[in-house]
Amino acid sequence: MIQLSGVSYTYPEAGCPALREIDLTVRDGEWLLLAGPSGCGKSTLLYLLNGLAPQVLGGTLSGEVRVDGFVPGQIPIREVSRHVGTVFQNPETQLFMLRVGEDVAFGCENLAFAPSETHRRVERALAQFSLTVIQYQEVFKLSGGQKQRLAIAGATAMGCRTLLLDEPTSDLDDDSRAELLAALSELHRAGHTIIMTEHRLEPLIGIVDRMITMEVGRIVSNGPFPVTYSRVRNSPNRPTPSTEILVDARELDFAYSGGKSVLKEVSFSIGAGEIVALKGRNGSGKTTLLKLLCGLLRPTQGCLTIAGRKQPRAADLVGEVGFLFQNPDEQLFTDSVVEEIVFGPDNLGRRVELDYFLNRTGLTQYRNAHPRSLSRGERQRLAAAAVLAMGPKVILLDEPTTGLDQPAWAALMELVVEQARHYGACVVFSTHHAEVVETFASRVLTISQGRLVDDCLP
Amino acid sequence: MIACLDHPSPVHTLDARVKIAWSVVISLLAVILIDPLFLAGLLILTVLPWFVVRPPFARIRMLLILVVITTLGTMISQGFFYGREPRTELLTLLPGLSLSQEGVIYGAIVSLRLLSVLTAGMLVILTTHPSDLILALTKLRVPYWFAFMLTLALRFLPETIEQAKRIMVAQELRGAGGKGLISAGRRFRLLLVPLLAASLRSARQVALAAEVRAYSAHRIPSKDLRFSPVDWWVMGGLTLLTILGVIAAIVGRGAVEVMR
Repeated sequence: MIQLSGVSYTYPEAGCPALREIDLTVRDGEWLLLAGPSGCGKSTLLYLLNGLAPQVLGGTLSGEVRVDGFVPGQIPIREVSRHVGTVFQNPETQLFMLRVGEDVAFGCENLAFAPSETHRRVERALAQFSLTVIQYQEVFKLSGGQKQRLAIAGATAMGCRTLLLDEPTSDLDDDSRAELLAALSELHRAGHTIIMTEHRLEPLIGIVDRMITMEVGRIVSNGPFPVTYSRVRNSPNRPTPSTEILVDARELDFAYSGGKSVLKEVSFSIGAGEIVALKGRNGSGKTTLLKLLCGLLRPTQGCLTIAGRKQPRAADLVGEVGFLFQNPDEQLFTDSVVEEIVFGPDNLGRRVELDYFLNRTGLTQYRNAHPRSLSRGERQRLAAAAVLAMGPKVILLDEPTTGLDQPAWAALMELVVEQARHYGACVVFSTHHAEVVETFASRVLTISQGRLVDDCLP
Repeated sequence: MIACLDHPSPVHTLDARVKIAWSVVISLLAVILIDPLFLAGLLILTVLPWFVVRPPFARIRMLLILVVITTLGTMISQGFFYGREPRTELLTLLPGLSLSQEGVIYGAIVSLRLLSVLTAGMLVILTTHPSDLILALTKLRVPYWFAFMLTLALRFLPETIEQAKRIMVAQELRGAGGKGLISAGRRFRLLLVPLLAASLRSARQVALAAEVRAYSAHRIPSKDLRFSPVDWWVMGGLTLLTILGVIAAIVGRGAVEVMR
């Protein structure tokens, strides 16, 4: 059983507590969901349960935290990990070894199990998470879903009965998410206690026992998980489609050199004002298609016209096409918010409405701040502003809402849609997020195994 | 280009410690032998296992490029800057800057040494999975923290390269072009800052994740390495080769240079 009584926690050098007066009991074998906006204290609560706070992260803790009768903050984390397994949001930074089987064994070896015991535990965990056939594969070749299953397999092989999961499905497509949730359901049936944080609640209906909602470090609701989930529907002022064709793809084929075909016979046109969602499993070819549309790749066959340019290269499309990456940190490279926004327009010799973008992104007060001092949602909006400030006619977004809570992704998409309307541009965004598609898209293209299999309304 | 080859060969099946020993023995002989004929023989010996491994043409091409660049580079640089007397001048570029025959020969000797060491080392990398190499290092009493650091470096290398590519693409799409040294320097700085920041952020997350996976140097590895009869035979051959090399260096034409 997990018990928190009157728990408050403040990070080192923080002005106010991240958690305030938390009282919570989690029964053995329960599956609990922690919901709430980014920064509300969900992850911090998990850090208290695995002992990272305050042992590694420092800070001040008051109140009492007990997990299976012991106090996580008072015994070595190595001992806590025998009881409590933790899986973080980003699978990349929690897999250490080079091959799948070796990574599952990593924790068991650290706990100094006999080699025969480690082998037994590794085999069982690999089988449990359908990883046996890829146990000799290199970790960096796995898909996002496989990596996340591997991280959970590594934690359970250590023998923990409680699993803490910090947004484990945020990077996954629908099928990978379903596979992961099925594996977790199996653990739940076997009696494991699961505590997870998540922004997207719909896929969890009928799976999770209880939901706690947090705001500003406090628990504001605590009760059974709702059996239905009603979306907050926005009605964004979408641009009106016009007859001007900005993207025209005819029978596009693409294969990486020496590799198998990634896209096959893909044909579509996109007019100014259209907001097109690109759906499909991880590895289906969505990102490759976006790279073709911004000229980073060129089709091996077929004809592609972007903003009036046939078979363009990236250099031909600077200023005409804007590309927002999934990870904003990869496109923020200057020393201040203002420099970031003016970087592209300066290179093109174009004027930029700086105050408009600062105001629209809510970054006016941070105009001289370093981009990396901003929150994830703010960095994503800044990256979008930096791209949009160049006035592109074709706006491409690769999984723009990953890791963002509802207010953050809604603000980002509204900014993009507003700019599309302003410039008479079209928007193409890849996503696994059904709610974003329904709220913002005017059209949905579905790609499966490199082929365009559906072109419809949302 | 230097990743372990997937297709198995007899060299792949050797214990990683034997292959490390091979590399060490070749390096030792490359240092103590001085006669160009002996060094040429040593280079031929290091090339022979490549015929057993039969790497794809791309890897052989890489080796050949390495051979040509190393040989020409060393011979030309030594030819010009060899400082000992006598000097037989072959070509004078500027007053005081001439190519000498003795320098070119000395450059050839140095390049034979370098190539032997590189060829032997590359064979080890091409035929040993990094995990096995790291396990072998820990068995050879290399501290675990160092082996773990090496593993993490290899583990995150592909992702870091991909990340660098994505940052450069982002720069290109925002018009950060331009030619010349100043533009290149500016782009490099704009690449380095986000890459470094991302690495530091990742390093912190990795440290937290390692804590909750009970990271400890007092661990018991689940895999072990055992010498097969073939490994013992190869080790015997390497011992014999070392003895012969040392004798040749002391009594033969390959006398150790430092002993003169």
